[in-house]
Amino acid sequence: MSVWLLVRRALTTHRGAAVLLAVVVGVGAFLGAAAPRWVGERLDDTLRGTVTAAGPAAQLSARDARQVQPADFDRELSLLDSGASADLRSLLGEGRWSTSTGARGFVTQNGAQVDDGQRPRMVNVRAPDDLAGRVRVVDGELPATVTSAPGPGGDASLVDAVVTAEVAEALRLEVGDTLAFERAGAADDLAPVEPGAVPGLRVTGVIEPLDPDDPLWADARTALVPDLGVPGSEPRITTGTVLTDPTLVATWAAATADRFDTEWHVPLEADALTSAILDRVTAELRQLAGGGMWSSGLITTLEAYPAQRAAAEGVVGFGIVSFAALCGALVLLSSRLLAERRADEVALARTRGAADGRLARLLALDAAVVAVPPAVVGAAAATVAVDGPGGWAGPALAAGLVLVAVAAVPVMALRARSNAAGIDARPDVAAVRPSPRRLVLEAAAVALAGLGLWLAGTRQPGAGIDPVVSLAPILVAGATGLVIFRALPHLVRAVLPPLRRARTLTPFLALARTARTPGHAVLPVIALLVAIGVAAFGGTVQASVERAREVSSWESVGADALIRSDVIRVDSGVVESLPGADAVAAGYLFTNQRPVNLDNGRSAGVDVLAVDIDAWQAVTSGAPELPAALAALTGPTASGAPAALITGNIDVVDVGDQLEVTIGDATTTVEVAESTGDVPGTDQGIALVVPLDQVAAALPPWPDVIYVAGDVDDDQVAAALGVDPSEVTLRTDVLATSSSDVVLDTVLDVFQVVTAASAVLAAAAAVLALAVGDRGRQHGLSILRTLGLTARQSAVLTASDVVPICVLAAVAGIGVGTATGLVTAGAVDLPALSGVLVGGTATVPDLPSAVVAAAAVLAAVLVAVAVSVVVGRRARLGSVLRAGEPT
Amino acid sequence: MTTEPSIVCDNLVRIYQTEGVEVVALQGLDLLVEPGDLLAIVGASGSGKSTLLNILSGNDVPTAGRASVAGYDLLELSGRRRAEYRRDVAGFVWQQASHGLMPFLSAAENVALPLLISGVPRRERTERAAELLTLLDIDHCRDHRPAEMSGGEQQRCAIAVAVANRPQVLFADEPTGELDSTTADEVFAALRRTNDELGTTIVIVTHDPEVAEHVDRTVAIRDGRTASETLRRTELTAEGHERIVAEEYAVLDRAGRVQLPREFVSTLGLRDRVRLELEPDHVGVWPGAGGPVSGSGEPGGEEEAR
Repeated sequence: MSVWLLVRRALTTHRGAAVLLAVVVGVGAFLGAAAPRWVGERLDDTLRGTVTAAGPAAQLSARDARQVQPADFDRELSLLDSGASADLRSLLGEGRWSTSTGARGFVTQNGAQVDDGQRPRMVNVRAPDDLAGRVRVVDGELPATVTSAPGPGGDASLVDAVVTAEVAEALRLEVGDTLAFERAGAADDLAPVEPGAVPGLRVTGVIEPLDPDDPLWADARTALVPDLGVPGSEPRITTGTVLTDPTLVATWAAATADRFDTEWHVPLEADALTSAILDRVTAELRQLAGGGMWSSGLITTLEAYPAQRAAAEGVVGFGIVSFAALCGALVLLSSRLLAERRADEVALARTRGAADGRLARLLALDAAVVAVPPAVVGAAAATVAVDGPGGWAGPALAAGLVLVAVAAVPVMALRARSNAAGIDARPDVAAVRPSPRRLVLEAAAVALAGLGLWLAGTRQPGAGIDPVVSLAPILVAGATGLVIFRALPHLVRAVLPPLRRARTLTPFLALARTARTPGHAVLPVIALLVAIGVAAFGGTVQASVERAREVSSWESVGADALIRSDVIRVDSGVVESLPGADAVAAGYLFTNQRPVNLDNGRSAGVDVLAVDIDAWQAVTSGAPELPAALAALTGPTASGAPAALITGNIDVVDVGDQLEVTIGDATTTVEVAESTGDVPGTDQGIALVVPLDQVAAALPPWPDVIYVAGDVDDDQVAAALGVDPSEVTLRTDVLATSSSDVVLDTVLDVFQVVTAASAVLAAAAAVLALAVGDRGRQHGLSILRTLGLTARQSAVLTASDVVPICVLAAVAGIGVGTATGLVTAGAVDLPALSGVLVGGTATVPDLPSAVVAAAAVLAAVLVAVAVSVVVGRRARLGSVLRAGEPT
Repeated sequence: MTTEPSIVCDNLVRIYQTEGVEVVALQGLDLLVEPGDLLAIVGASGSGKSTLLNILSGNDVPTAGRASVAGYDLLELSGRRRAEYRRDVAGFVWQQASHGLMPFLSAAENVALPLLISGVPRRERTERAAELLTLLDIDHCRDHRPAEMSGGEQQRCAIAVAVANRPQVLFADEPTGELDSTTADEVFAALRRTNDELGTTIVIVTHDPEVAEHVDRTVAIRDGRTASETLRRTELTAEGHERIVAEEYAVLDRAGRVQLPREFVSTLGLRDRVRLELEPDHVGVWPGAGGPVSGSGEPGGEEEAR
């Protein structure tokens, strides 16, 4: 049979089933080819996002103190570019450099001694490359020359310079002003020097930046916004930066032999960075840093990235494998539909002597004719439509779907029972029962799933895409489906006798069918189990990540809001009266290093934070778990002494040591329950956290630390306490900061999309599985209708037939997905994903989401059932059952 | 005493639409069946007999005409009344016994199924199922599922299912078509027993001339119309033996039309036009002018229809 003939047959015979298989393969190939590209691109986006988020820190920078020779500065950039590998060169942006003096104080202005009493003025001279291209002249003109002007001490060189309006105002400069400075190094004591010994400046213009985002302004920080000095400091100094041309400032350098601080910056273009070149680029950057001159914060920025990426790939890999498995299942179901339609002609060919081998080859070719064109079109469309790194995964998935169809159609068609009259063999009794081989295969599948789950549970995180972990939910769901398939009839048989006695028809018939011929249920059960299992697994991982973030924020802040200030002069109760505040706890920080006498005779100095433990516990009542510090403080101690915590590195104190703490006149003995990192409310360094009641007698009137529970506004809190808003830390802000992690966000996005798509595919698989059995179901209903079954009874019977199985599968799916998520979450590396890099992270189920997903999939199935009922009701019995000889 | 006929078909028409082509399966068929009849409907493939069976069993709806079974007008049935009709009035036995049996139920459960649909109490269901299984001689298969029964047992079980609700009419579509002759005899005996002991009117559609010989009345359908009827009766011979006498009649429809047997037409070369002549006790049919003349040898080639 020629291929053309097969094509014609596919287009004309059982067209619906062939078109369905083609569509499923085409869509599957598109999704299969597109998913790895899309995910790869999104993960590369996380890399680029990480670099972009690092900002200027990620650029390649060099700094040197040298004589000002503009040609040398350009040469450094050329050398970097020529010495870089192609990978690194592809990332290098346009380099820039600038050179600057240290800040110098005015001596004279326009020849007159500068003397403004309490407000000395200092100026930094900076010469960037391409000054003219970076600024716009508002008044006067750009620096053009070095002039010589007579002064009291002789002629002095005056270098042209420009200044922004803000700096001009702060330094009280005007166009035309000439300035003379003290000697280099004299900035600290501001001692006047002989005028003329140092070149001066002539202000030739007022400028404004062409582009305020130009990195130059980050280098020349006080060029745009002058530094007005620290309030309260004596004297309070005003500092600004003026800009000049490098060729002009060279004259200054020559006159003074000063070495100017010169910096080079070359941005690394994040857009060109991919994971494929990441390792080579970071190795080259390390090599450059080892050379001494160039350095980049990118190395530090990306230190944690590989672990995060591996964790991300672990989670995303699960999604892709699930996705591929579900596409495969859909192709299997579509193949079965086509195989059932082809069964009659296969049976006919057999009666005419066709060998199974030849038939199988013909059917495989038939399937290939149907599946290959859409697979090619789907994969090509994905390549065109979806940006992303190429690779073998996409084409392999598309080819895999074709292979599934080509293998499944012959096998299923040869095994399918023909419906053709005269060749409809009556199944013998043995065929009704599962064969020993089948039982062994099913037992092996269950054992394999158990092994996979165990291996996944023991797998260490950070391994990237792990097929064992990725396949675990699918394997376990499939195995559970098989177990249900085998166990369900025995369970149902137990309830059949009472139903047989009842007058109601539908439960008895539906359950009798399930108990005695459960084969019709196996595909929907497994499809639904996988669908809802995948959704529940995803929900568990996501909920665990979210919980880890939540726990992390509580560990970091210790409350919904934390106020740490030395200037609180009101009672903490004022916060409790603010809108949204539910509870308040106070802490008193004794920042002076208090001597502590250890029972081993040694002593150490520490800060002491005394906290109202009971009140703090009340504040943390909304936390998913008690913060570690509080848990340690409320736990029992070996000695019976009150528990205390020690933070920071201190060698002389160990857990279990008893410490004597003296504050004022109060002395108490505590036992170190735990040595930990920072405790919310303590400053950097070593601190001892003790219960407040132990040092109550020595407490000052105002607290230094306040923990607040509730949804309070930081500005209101700051205003009520009279502190700077920056001293108020909100837990929601900390949570938002951790939530803005680009890798985590991307992973969760990808995860949600892949999980949702998988759930949709699985719902489609469940509906398709129902469609595959629909012919038989309609036939059975038609027979019952000839016995007088009403339309309503038909609908109820269909629902009774399908819904309990679906509900059972949904419940089992929730259990399987959640349990698999809990078991394998360790391998998914939740700490790395959630940004919690210390300690274990508990995994939590997300039952509400799982139930919603299950309800959505069930709803899809129910809609399919409803459609089936309506279609079945319209069908005439005569055309379904076809009395008389077939035509 | 006159009894109302079980089945009345008057000028029954059924037109199918298949891929845009209209097929007239029944074109004005008339049929009367009396209560308790055991009737066979025969006809060539495509003659319309299965269409008729589908309509009479309530599985299909006629396009025009009148079809009434046990007082149910089959053109006017609502969905609920149609279900009631299928449940209480008409039973159906399929050519393939597997069509009529639920494969996952035992024989007893299958027989009880129509009673369950009707809401009959369990005790009554059990008794009725046992009674029918015994009547049809398959009580040993009570707990067997269809796959565990022979073809004949399956078909007898299907008959038991069909008559479980005590229908007034039982329709059987080639009930012995897939069975060997011995098994077919068993099944036919079961049908006859059902007819005799339960008084159920039975209409059998069949190709099998042997089946047709087992019934008292055979209706032949041709081109969607009733073509002829054969009535059989048992007579005693002079030697005192029973013999079956079969007489075939052409059917005169309400419009006065008669279908001549095909062999009559071909033998006399009748086509297009025939000449009729009314005689005192019969109607004569002669070939029309211009047609070939052949016949019984009588002057003018005269052929008579009585």
